[in-house]
Amino acid sequence: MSRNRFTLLLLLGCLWLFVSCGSEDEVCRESTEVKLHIGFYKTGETKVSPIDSIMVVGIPGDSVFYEPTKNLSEIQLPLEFGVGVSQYAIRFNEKWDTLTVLYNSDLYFVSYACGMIYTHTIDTVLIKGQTSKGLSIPYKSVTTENVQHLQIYR
Amino acid sequence: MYNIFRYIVSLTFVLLCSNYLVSQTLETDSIVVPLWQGIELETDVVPLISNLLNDDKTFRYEVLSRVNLKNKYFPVVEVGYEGKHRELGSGIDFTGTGMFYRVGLDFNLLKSMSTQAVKNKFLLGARLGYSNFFYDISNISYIDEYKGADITGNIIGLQSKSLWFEIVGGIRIEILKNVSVGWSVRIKNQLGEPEAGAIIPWYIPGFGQTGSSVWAFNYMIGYKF
Repeated sequence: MSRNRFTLLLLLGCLWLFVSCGSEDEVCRESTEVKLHIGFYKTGETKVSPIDSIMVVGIPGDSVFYEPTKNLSEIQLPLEFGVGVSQYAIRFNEKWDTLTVLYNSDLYFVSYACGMIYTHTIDTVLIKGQTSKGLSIPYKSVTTENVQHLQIYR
Repeated sequence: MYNIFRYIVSLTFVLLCSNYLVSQTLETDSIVVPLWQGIELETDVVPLISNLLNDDKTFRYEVLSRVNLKNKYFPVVEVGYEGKHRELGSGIDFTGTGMFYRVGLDFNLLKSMSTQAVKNKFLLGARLGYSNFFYDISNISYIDEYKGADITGNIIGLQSKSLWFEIVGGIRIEILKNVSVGWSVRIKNQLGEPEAGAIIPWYIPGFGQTGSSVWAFNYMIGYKF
């Protein structure tokens, strides 16, 4: 290879150095919403059943997660991190039930574009009241995955 | 992992073929080239300039030592120290610092008609890279969905290690007696997968930005002993 060709290659390399530039993908394209998905069922049925009117508030405090809403068969509630327990008052039509969820929380790094999230692992769920007859926990891991974690029977 | 395997097999094939062709040419010419042809020291000149333009947490120093065996085989050791500071578009502030090391082998694809050390080289080779480094992440956000608040925090003093594989190509021209310049282009791939949810570094010294294959360019100046 002649010296001229080598010099040309050298210059091409320098040119590439100056024209090349990296592009950084810093747009968050992943879901970061971590919520407890709860479905409502009539006892003995496998298909979700809508509630005529439902309202959900946090206990204690004045956080209103659902204003009175008609015909909902599934709700999504946030779990408070750092305390290991979240309580909610759920009004089914005119009657109030109390839902208590005990869980462990872990910090999960999503990406530099999305930041971090808290994921939770359900330990125990209690429900007291006149409407709810029982519950099941099909998924104990509460992440960004869109699955029904809790099923409440009435 | 399959891609890395394919990558290594392809590289080995290319290197063996090129080496075979060069060997054939040399044998035909019946030239006996002495094994020891000297040692070269090189440094990347780009950071020497960019270090002056960046903040004091973003810098890179890199030196390379290459042994010339028979004008054909070039075992290489590279050592460097790099720091990176960047405020990302998401608001996260990343700062990382650490040493990095690379070992590998270059092949000169140009045939040599001389028993002296070659002056110009067209190199193709591979490297195994390793870095042990520290990093801090500031202003990282997470949402408290229960309270509806966006919270930011800092994670300081993280330590990590990384291993990667590189394919390197480049040229060197002797412009003065024993002094050569040239460039290298390299593609790097990390070995191993990070654990899901782990706080991976945004940048690895000697490797570059994490997440995919990294192309890099070095403009080298060196001296032959």
